[in-house]
Amino acid sequence: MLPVSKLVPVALLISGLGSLLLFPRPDVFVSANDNFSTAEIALEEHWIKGAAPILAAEFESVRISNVNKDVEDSFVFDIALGQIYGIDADYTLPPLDVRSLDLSQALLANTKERSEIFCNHPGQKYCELALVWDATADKDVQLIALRVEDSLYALVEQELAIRLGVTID
Amino acid sequence: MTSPLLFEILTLALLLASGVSAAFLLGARSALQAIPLGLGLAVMWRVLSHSLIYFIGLGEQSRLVWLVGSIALIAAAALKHFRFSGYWLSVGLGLGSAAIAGVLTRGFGLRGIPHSDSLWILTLSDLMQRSGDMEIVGGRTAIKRGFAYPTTLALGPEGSSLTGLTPLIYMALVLAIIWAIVSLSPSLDAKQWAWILGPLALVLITTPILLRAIWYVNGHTLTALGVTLAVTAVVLAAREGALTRLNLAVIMTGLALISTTRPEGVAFAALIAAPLISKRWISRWDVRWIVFSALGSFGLWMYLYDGYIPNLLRLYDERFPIAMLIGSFLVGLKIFDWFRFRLVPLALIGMTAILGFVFATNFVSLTDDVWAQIQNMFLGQGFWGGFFIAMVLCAAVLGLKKMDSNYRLLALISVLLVLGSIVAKLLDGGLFGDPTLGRLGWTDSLNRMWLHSFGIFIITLVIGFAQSISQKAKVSA
Repeated sequence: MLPVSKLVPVALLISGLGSLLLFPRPDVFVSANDNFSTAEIALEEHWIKGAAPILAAEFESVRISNVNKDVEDSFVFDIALGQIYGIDADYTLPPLDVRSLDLSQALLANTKERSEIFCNHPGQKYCELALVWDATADKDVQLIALRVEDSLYALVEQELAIRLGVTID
Repeated sequence: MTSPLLFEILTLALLLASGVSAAFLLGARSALQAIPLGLGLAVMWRVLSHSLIYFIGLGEQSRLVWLVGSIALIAAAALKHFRFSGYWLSVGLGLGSAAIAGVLTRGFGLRGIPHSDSLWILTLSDLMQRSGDMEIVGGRTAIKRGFAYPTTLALGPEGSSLTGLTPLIYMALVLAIIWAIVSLSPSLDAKQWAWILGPLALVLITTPILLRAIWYVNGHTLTALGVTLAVTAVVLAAREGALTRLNLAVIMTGLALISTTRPEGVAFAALIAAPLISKRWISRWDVRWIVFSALGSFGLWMYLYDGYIPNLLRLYDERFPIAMLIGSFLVGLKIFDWFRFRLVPLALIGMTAILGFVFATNFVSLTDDVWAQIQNMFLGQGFWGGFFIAMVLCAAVLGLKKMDSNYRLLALISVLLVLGSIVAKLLDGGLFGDPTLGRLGWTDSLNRMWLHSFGIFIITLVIGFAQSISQKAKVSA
């Protein structure tokens, strides 16, 4: 049996070599490309979890409805980020459930961003959110939150949503 | 107009020089201790000055007040230590570190791996830099982004952050780990050091998350700096059976850093302080100061911009910081001695009970989460390489037998930190609602929380090895 003075270094060497040979070697940094502005980094990195900065950068004024996050079957559109970026958000109602309309494919063509977001589903913390608008969207945009699939929500420009068959009261 | 690179280097240099100066004014005498302690002090000075100026409605002047205070600290220390070469050496090393950190980011254009938490933090920092209304930031998500880190990042050039701060914190963390090892380890010869440090270096440089943390924009490494400083001073005080003014300052700085950087930080601060404040020899006022450093700084944060926890507790406006102040005073009273003297076993029992309860009531739903954590920590999915495999193997080899009190206390604090991290993660997921223990991948929050304690794990391992070698040498002699 090796003494502790040898066993510890051997254990470290085995762990280090094992890591080197068996485990992934991901990048540890990225190139900044001279971009250090917070707003531009948010755009460059497609930061959809903070949809607010992306929308604020894209439009002159943004109004969003149906983003009540305090009920089950909703996603988290963060109030603080909305306020920081000057988004006029109506948190009264939860996202409109349009799963029965099967809109996924129709929305895909005009999806500008899509990535992971927090949601409030029983037993499920992460969903996806798509930001959807088309060329007809006004600079003063009005968007509505829709539940498109079980784990997919979308913030869709309201006129586009109506054209796709969504009924908005 | 000043170039962003020059602006960064000058700001980082001032940050570190003022911090090192404050450390020397408090009694530090070596660069190894003064630079990490100094960075912690500099961050806390930034937090304090920004908060006080914001309270009186002069938020736009917060950078100016920080600047004037920093220059005053440098002037005071320079006058006091004018003839002490150690001071000038420490300041010089600090300035060199600041220049390297600034050049790495602004000069070479290196940036942390993209992550939504980083962007959240940069957004907060942007808001602070613009002296925006902090009252709009009060939600559950915002509190997770911390206070000290974005506040200091906000010292960057207009419209962007202090990019070199993150690698600078990492350099300070490395120095803090070295300081801890030098302070707590028995003396070994160069060959014996090479036996442990060589293989350990291999483990560390093959652990991707530790390399990512150099640039990754998040408060993890600042928390780790606070944890490493505080734990080291706690162990030093326990070993000496006395708490020097300098060690008290180190502990207070570390705990304040932890408590203002992460929402669970104040609980971590309690776990770190518990082994010391439960000693019978420590004075009641020292206990109060230690507790105040955590609760007071946390109260300041919550009062300034994030009322999430005060609102949960229905302690609105000034009531929360006042409650923190009163709590700090009460904990030193004699009537709480029974509780205080038993803090460590109570913490261990409490956390074990919580874990037992949650696992017993959510066994099925947590099974996948536990498997995800195992894969993250031991099978490369969390980019921890062979780090945790090495730690577990070495802990098993070293054991506790024949180890002195330094190692035993470090091992105890390591266990407290591991349990605390798991409980914090479960609480975040909702203890009585839908607790989660995380998911596969490096971005999982528990996976990243191990960054807070990795320095302590390394220190524990090295001290344990050094003790086993030195005992063997004694037996041979």
